[in-house]
Amino acid sequence: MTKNVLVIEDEVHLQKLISFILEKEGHKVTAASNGSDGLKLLAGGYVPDIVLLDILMPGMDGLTVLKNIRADQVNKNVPVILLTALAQENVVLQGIKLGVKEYIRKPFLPKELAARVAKHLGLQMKESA
Amino acid sequence: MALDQESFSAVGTALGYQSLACYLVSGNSATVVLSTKERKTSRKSATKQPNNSGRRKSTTTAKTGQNGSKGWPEVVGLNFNHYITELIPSGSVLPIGWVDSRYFGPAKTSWPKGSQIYFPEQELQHAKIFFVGISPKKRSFTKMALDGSMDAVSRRVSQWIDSGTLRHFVNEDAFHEHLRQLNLDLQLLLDHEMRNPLTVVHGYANMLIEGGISHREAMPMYDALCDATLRALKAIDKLSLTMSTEFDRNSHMTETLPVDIGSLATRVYTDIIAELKIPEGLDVKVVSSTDRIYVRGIKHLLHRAIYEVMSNAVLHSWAKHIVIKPGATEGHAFLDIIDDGKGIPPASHHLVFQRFYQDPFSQKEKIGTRGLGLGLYLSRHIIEEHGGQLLLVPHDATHGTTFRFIWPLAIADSEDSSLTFKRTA
Repeated sequence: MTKNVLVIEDEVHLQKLISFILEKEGHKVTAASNGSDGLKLLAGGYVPDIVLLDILMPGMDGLTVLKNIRADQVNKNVPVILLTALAQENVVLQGIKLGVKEYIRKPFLPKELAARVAKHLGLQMKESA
Repeated sequence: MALDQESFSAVGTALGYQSLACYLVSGNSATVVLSTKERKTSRKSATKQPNNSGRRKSTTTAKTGQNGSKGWPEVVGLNFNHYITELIPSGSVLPIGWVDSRYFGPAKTSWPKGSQIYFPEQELQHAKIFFVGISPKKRSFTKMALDGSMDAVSRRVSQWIDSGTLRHFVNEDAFHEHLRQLNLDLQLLLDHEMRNPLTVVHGYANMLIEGGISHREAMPMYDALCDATLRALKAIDKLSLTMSTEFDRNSHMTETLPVDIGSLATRVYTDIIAELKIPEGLDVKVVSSTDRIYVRGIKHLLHRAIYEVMSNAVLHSWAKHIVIKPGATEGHAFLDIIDDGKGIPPASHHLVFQRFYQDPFSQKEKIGTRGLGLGLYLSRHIIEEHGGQLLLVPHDATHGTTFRFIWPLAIADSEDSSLTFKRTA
């Protein structure tokens, strides 16, 4: 079953890498290069099954994007995985409070990324069954 | 007009500083401008009297100048690198000695706080204000002499305020917070600018090793691997240059040559065209100067400084036209880089030369080109080491930006390879 994945990541090569990995798994990937564009997609009616969100981005950072997602009535429960180069405790705690499913620390193995995304998509599928 | 103590104090007061104990923060260094004191004729006859706070303070008697006016104000400053951990309170006596024997005498290697600095009489006749640089780590000195007329000082300090170079740390907490934030910024940028490209390399390399990738799929991966590796190397290169200029200020300044800035600017633009993707429709004009305009310096460092500013204008200004204009006036050489792009908001003017500062809107629709935020900081640092300045010139128009490099003019055929910049007028 094809799932919609929204990737919000400002690094273009990383966008392409993540897209390639997840498209190989059969998912349909939509990418945004900054938080503002990602939120516009959601506001425009795009409903992802999962969001992969970078933390450190120019303009709006990932945690701010996450707060906005959680305030969105349509997408407030969408699973979010944070992609992070940071290991700062305060960022982790803030993310947990905002309902982040998990963190994936960069660098990551492609199989690891694919497996974690599948796990959270599977969890969602189980809940809706 | 000759500068006297009262005039300089008036300058300080007019600029909003109760005392002259303030910091000029320029990139990674802070210059403390301490209170003036009149110079004594004889070093040996200097007497020390306690000030109100109980600290000993040297008092000097005035020296009568040639025109009969009272002697030189001794305006001194200490230039610390950003690792300074203690403030020097206003009124403190300054470390004694100097490292440049051509100017002052034999070098000293340790400068305990509380010792006294001193300038030979003959030097004070040539320059009215000295900023003496001290690196607590290496105990090395740099020196920058300014034109001493009060108007020139006022103009220079006003420029520093407008460009954000001058900041007044009102207490030690603010200064330490500043240092803490700099360290945080470095951590964040390293994490982003090094880890992201290496994540790309790691991911694609892993997929190629695992196999199952067609030749068609693999080709863009190879490009991405090259780009990402290059980006990480450039980040290392910039950081390395920043750190080396910080800790080893004088090591690369021992060999200086006359450099024609007009030719250099043209060369920099040629390199930019060869190395970077120029936005479509951008028109760049390098104005030729009728005469050669020389400054003294290290050519590859000057190239680097101009490259950073020029490439910013080309890649990030959203300009349709850029003019690169060298020139000379009143004993100074200048190089203007003028664009008609979106401009820099006035609120950000004091931030642009800070390390790791990035305009949050400059990367919109230009994905994947985020830099380290070190370019302008590095450029300014290099130019200041050459005795010059890099300024963001305010525009009358609502858009557009002008960055101006200013250096002392050099004599092209000078045999003196010292750091002294000889004025042609």
